[in-house]
Amino acid sequence: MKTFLFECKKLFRKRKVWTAAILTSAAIIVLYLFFYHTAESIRSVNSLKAEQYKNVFTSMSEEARTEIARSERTGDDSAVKGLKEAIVRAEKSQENYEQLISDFQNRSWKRIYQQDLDFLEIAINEKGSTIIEEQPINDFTLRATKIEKEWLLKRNLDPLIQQTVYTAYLPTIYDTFTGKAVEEWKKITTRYAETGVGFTYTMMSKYYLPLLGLISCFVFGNGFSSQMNRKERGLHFAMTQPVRKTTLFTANYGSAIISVVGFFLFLTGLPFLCSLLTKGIGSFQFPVLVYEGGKENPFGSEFNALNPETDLFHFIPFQTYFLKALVLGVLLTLVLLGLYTLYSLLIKSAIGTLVLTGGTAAVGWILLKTSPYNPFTYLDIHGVLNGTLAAEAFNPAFSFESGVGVLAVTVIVFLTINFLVFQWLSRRVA
Amino acid sequence: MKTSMFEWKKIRRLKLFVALAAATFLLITGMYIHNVVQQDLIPAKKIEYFSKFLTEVSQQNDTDQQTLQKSEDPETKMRLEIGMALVGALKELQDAIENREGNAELSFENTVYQIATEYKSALGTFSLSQKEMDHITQVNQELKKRNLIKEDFDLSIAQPLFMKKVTHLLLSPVGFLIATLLIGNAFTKEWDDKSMQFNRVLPVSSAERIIGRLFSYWLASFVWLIIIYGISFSLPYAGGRTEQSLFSYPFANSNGQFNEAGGLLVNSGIYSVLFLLFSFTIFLLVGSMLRNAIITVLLVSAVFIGGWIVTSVGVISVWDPFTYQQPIQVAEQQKSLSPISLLILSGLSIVGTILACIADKRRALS
Repeated sequence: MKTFLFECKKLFRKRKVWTAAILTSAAIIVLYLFFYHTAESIRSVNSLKAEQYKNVFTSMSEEARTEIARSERTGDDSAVKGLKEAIVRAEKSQENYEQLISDFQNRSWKRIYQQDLDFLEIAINEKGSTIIEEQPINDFTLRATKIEKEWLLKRNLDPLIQQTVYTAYLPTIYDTFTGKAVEEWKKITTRYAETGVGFTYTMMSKYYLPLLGLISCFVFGNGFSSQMNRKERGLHFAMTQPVRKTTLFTANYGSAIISVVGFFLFLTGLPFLCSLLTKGIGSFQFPVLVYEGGKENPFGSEFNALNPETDLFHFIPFQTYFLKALVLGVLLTLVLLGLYTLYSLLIKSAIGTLVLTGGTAAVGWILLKTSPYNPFTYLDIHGVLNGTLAAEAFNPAFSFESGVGVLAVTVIVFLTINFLVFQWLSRRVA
Repeated sequence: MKTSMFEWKKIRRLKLFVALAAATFLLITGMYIHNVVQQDLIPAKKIEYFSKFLTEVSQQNDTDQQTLQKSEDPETKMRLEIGMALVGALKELQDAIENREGNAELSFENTVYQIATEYKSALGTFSLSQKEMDHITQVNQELKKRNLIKEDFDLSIAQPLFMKKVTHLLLSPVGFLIATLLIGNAFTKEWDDKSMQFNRVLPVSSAERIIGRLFSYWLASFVWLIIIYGISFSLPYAGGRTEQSLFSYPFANSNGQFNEAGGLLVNSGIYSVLFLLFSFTIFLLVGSMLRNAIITVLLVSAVFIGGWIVTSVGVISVWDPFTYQQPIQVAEQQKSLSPISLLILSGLSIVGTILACIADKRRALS
């Protein structure tokens, strides 16, 4: 215990560790603020677009009015009647847009959700009627978007911001657009967040947690290598003292685990803290889509295909998703720390260790991502928790539970390997 | 000159540089083998793509036939006629793909879009927008003009297309960052190993030290670029896909202009060389200011990744040096090599070098 505390003290006394920690935190804060501002500007662009559409109808009704005056002079009654109807329609649309703009500005979403739900009801019933660049939006996406809106309406939650004044769709793995439709779909469905929950949720689908884990290892995981390199031989000195090597190893590894995991959790929580200064943390009830996958084809696995019309899904609140993601994230960070320590024991250059650890994880993930028993599969925490991996592979083994199991075993395996390597290295010293 | 030769020697002896070269070599070879294995999948992929339209149109034809049995409707009759012709054209196209008749494939594809345009004006459903069909037709015509066949951008093993795929993957923000960090490690390592202290008592000026290092790191990155271009050039060469005309393969950009593959590769190579120079000046500047490996890496990564995020959110400008982290995309958007781009990158590199020299003069040692 004493050695452990001593190692912790050594780690926290280093100025460069603190500078690195502050720098990383600053980078995360800047990232959050950047996305916050992007979201704000997209919101104002949406209002502007709605304003433009409104103006189109305003000028339409004005034109119709001058046209009426002219027709009245010529005595063309049927034209006057048609034009009056057009004015009524244009004014109605104008009113709608005015309402939309004020709803955008006041952040009152109820009416918008209700309109979206009415529209989606029709879109689901009339298959193929809603299109992007003339390619139909699939049934699954429409259904999922509808349930999401119902969830948001029922719990009175704010949506994430998307670049559209019309229905904000929820993109799913069932979308099969090609060509220009892909770009258009990506543009209108990319989500930007203002709140802490929203930011964390949108980033988590982009390998955010594994990246934070890797950075934490890089900042706090150099305990062994910084004391065993060419110039600093602190560990070699400690080995000559009457301290057991096991104690030395446990103290160093333990202090690394505590500080790396602590830093990882701190970085994950940082956007929530920042958001207190902007738009608030947001609701932990925000819906997260979970795919339930399709049925296996009785004629063989090569004929398995997702069916957008019958496949099922459900939503879970963000808090459930986040807690599970944190458990997987911490375990994954420990796996990365194990790998990082192994490399740092062998090559002793922090940059090389970082690149090698990242590289090994990436290669392990790319080559073996079809296996639920490969620990690096769980780099895609989002894909595991929302069922993407299970649905795409038609294999329910890609689950939170198997993730915890596989990662825990890997942590122990790396612990053992690192201990053996440490023993081997210390024997060469002594 | 002597300083840079000495620094170059240090890099060459560094295991990390060898590791970078070896990893690059393995990655490209792996990609090539993957693509060779996947060659048979290309026609299957294309046929699957067109069968989506075939099903769509056949279904509409069935419905139209049923309607016509009940009552005579000239519009439906016309649509059915065009629909039948479209089904025929789609089948011919699929046959041409299956038999790998590249030239015929292009003609049939254009015919399909021609009939599909008519079909759409007769209110038939064909899930491809007019804009898209016009675009593909234009590309196909360009290909026919050059007597080329359509290649698969992801799986092709034709020389320029494979080279473009490789450069797209490696000369990317992640690739540049890794190369900069691994090569630049020779610099930050000296602060950690404390050999910089010895270095500073030598009768060498700050400017000479910084420029010498910059030059040698740039040379090392040049070697890395040669490996990338060389291997992605020679593997398909050994594999036999070496038609000279392939280097005029046209790539359309978002403005509808066509760039030839050869020109694109050369331009993106030039941008890469200059961007690497710029990234090393940033690395040397930050490194000589902070004088610590971990903090330098974190700051440089934050700057690079930040620049990448800014460009990927859509703020793209020729004046932003971080746009050139994706040289092939920049080259695709430009008609020819832009002097502004060259000026920006080299100008910023010179400013960075001067600042780095000033930062290096500070005598404090950490």
